[in-house]
Amino acid sequence: MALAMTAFAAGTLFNLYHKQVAEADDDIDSETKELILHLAEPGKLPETIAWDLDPHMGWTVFDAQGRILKTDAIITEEASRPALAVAGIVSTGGIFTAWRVRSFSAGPERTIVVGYAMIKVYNVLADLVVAYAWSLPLVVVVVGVGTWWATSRALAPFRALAEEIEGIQSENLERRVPEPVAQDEIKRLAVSFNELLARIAKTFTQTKRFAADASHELRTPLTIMRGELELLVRDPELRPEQQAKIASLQEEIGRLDRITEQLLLLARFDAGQVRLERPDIDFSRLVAEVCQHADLLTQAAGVTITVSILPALRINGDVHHLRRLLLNLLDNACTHNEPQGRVQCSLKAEAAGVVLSIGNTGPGIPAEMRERVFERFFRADLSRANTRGHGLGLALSKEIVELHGGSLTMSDSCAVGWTEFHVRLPLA
Amino acid sequence: MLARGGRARHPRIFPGADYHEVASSADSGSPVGMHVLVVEDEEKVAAFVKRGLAEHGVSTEVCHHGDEGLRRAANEPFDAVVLDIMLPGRDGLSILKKLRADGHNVPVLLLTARGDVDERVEGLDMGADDYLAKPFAMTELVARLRAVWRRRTGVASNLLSHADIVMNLGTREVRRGGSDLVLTQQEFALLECLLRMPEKVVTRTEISQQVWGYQFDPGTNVVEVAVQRLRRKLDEGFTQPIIHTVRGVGYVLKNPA
Repeated sequence: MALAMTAFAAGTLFNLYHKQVAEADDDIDSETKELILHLAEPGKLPETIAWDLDPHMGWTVFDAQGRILKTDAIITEEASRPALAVAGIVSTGGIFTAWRVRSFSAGPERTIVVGYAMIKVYNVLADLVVAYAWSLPLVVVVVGVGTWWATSRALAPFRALAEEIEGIQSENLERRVPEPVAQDEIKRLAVSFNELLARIAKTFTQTKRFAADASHELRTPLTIMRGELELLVRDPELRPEQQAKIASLQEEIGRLDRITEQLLLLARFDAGQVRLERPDIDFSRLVAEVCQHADLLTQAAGVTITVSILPALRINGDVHHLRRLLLNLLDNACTHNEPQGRVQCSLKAEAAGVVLSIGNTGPGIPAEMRERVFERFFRADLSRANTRGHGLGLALSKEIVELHGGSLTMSDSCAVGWTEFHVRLPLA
Repeated sequence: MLARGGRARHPRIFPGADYHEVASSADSGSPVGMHVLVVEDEEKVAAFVKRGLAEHGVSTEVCHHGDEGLRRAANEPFDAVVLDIMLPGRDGLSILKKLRADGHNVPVLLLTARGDVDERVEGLDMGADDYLAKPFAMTELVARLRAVWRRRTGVASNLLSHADIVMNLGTREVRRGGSDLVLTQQEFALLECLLRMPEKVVTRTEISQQVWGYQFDPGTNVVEVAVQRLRRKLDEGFTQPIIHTVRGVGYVLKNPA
């Protein structure tokens, strides 16, 4: 606003200046005409006339050789002489001694220069600047306070609406914001928000139902296939290669089953259906226990694991989901490793909570792909040569950690050949 | 949550998927002679359950409709009822509720969808003896049926044995040829899995599911490593190996004699 005020002030000043200059020019013209009338009597010389001019104006009489014959002591020679060379009105003099001057010939061998001192214009402008300097800040303050008061009054209903909206979570999607009686923008906003809520609630219910329906629909055929294969694989009539084929089919069904389970779990996370039981637990102990059992994984992968755990760190957590998380990360660290590689697991305390770091040797994930590792079905290995896993583990792990109020990140400062994930969880 | 009979349950090694939590805690014994009602609307599921149970000497009657299921469970003398939750007509939970309300205490094993914790807790609160999540392994179904039956009747024993191996599921002791073996939890679970199917091949998938709850792909030789460890303990001091590998398929417990 202050900027607008300044622009306004500058505009008016500029305008006023031009008006004043035009007025000065008019004055010069009218005085000149009067003087010409005085000189109309034949033989009368300009230097002999006594002529009262406006106090801001002055005149000078030159002879044909450019000598000054008369001047009224108001206007200087420097201000008036340049006018001799020009036909119309010109500006002369310095900044503070500026004049508007005009010359005209008066009788034989006489030239008269009439001038208007610009200092008068400057005085007018200076008065205005002073007036502005006093009034504008006051205007800014008054307008500012006024605007603030008006907008906060106008926004109060919006604020109330926002508070109402903030109270709506996935658990109470049935709630609606109150719609005011007045037919105004607030009412329109409240109505459209309620309509939006209704649509969200519907989608939500559908998602929830999808998880339940899909779990039934997918599991029934899986149950049948698994049951039939289980009976079939022990059929004594089978040749060994047929038996091996069936065992391989069983493994594929197992894979389908795991994908199904993880997808459905993700769907439940999305639908906000997963309720964690979060008692106060000894997280150090849980990590130690899972690491100990993971030695089978490391042995199967041919890697060695080093574990360092700060004891007795307690968090509020769901043991079942946390165990799934830990195994997931350790399994990843083992399978995306290199022969004779290393896995490192460390649990430390931080200012705000605990940080669990699980790192491993191996090809790692290219920097440009690191952002995407938590996406569903993401695989760094585009050739899919490694058919194990299905890219849901990290997505699920992230959901688990976030539901615990923590964060799961991939270290971006990893050296080549080293991958590290960090789980941060708040202390109990 | 499942130790309803007051029996302490050993902790699982990798309790990843809930649905198999009981496999190794189940009591055992010869299942021959048990008579079971299966209420399951999916005919194919019902069919392989019937065949699978028959292989373990359990006789089965099948019905596909909820109302019929309730009528038969209430009026005929079954040793146990396997009850699917989603059924046409009366659903499984409602059948269970009605049975218990009318004072029938036949053991009931619910078939649920995995992950439906609410459904499961509700079922147990209503008086189900156990639950099994789909998709399930037949050996688990057998083991749990025996367990619920034993808890109700006290019949059946805690012992599993084959050749010179004896496993006590109650005391969690394992002996081979008279000497005690010290096994870890997962080795115990693995041996139990093989002992339930003696002389028959048990696939890697079945083992991985029953021992680790399907947390791992059997393609990563986790099962293989675990079997090697178990073998070292079992065969130490014996000339004849007892666990045999069936290439590309799985493992089989064979009587060396």
